[in-house]
Amino acid sequence: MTLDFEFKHEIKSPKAVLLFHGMTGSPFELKKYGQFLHSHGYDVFAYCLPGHGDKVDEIIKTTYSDWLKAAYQDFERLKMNYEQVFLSGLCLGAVLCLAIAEKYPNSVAGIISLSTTLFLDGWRMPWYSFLMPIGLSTILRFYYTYPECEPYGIKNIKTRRIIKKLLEKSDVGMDNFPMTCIYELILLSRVIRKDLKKIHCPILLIHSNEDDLTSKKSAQLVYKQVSSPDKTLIILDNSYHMVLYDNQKDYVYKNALDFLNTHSKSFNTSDFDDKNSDGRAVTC
Amino acid sequence: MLKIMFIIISLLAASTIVIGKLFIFGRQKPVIVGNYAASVGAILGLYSILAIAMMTQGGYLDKLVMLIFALSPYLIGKIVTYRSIKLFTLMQIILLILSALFVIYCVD
Repeated sequence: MTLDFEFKHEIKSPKAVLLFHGMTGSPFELKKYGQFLHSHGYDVFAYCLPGHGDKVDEIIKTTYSDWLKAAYQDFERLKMNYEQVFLSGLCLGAVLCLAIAEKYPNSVAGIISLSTTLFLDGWRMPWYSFLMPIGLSTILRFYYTYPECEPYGIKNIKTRRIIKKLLEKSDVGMDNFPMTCIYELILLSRVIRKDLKKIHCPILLIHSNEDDLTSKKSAQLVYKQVSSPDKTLIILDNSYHMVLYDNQKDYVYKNALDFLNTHSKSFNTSDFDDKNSDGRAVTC
Repeated sequence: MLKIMFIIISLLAASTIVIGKLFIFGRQKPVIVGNYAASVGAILGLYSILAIAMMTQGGYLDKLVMLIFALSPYLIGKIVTYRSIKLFTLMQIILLILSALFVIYCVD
């Protein structure tokens, strides 16, 4: 089953948003977000990352280079057809957005980075997470999968029940995290962290204070290290990891749209040098 | 004492991997698999520490061999792929047993 989607307008929009889903997820988790952005004038695209979908066997064989290659290709293809291409991603998807911005610093119109996952240090991590470096660097990583469990990255109990049912059907994503996948994410994270300074496009970071998978340290690190003169960090106080589905989803949507509208009107790569904003960090 | 501890831990590491492969990984509930994998990880970590501690004994060659044994779980982890996992798991088990035999017969 293909979960990819492309929401285009009949009259071609000059602005596109490329969305990336999270680790072991699928474009399904971005569909509502995509529809929302599309309804406000943006052409929106989301494709399933290599190894993702609903089969664990596939993701075990996939490396972070495969994810990067796919992300670069998708971006290059859109960049040929659109004047401005914005990037937005959740979890692993947010890391891929950063990777693209590092490789094509003058081509990305802006990034909306949601629950950026550079470190796996959220409160849901099991008691033995301190042994993870050993598990990841030995053969054990091929034998262990970390089960997706309560609260499924969602604070809202009603939404959590729905997600749980969908995951049990297993046709919208995987119900566990293979260690190999976590290993690849950590390797990717190391690569990305080295070059965060190369990023100078506008960036909006949204992260939850109570993120169960990755603490706000990841978003704060990106916020500190990127060279973008126009950067914003929003810390949510009533959500977990899946900020697009949780209690403050409307607030997330609104801020994402505001960010896109602000930068799609006046975007010009040379403009970045003229802005003297020091960025802002807010908690809501 | 160190020698005995190393022998016990290396054989324990080898046997937990064998048991895990045969009865636990992919066969039990995720919670059990998680706790079991963590235990094997802890044993492998302890194995490396003891192997490094064993470098205080024996000659230069013994020290070099012990260093290789100490790093073997991570060297194997570095080169193993999904396709070669069975081969490298077997290799890891053999190396763990060999290290115990090496300490028994070669290190004074």
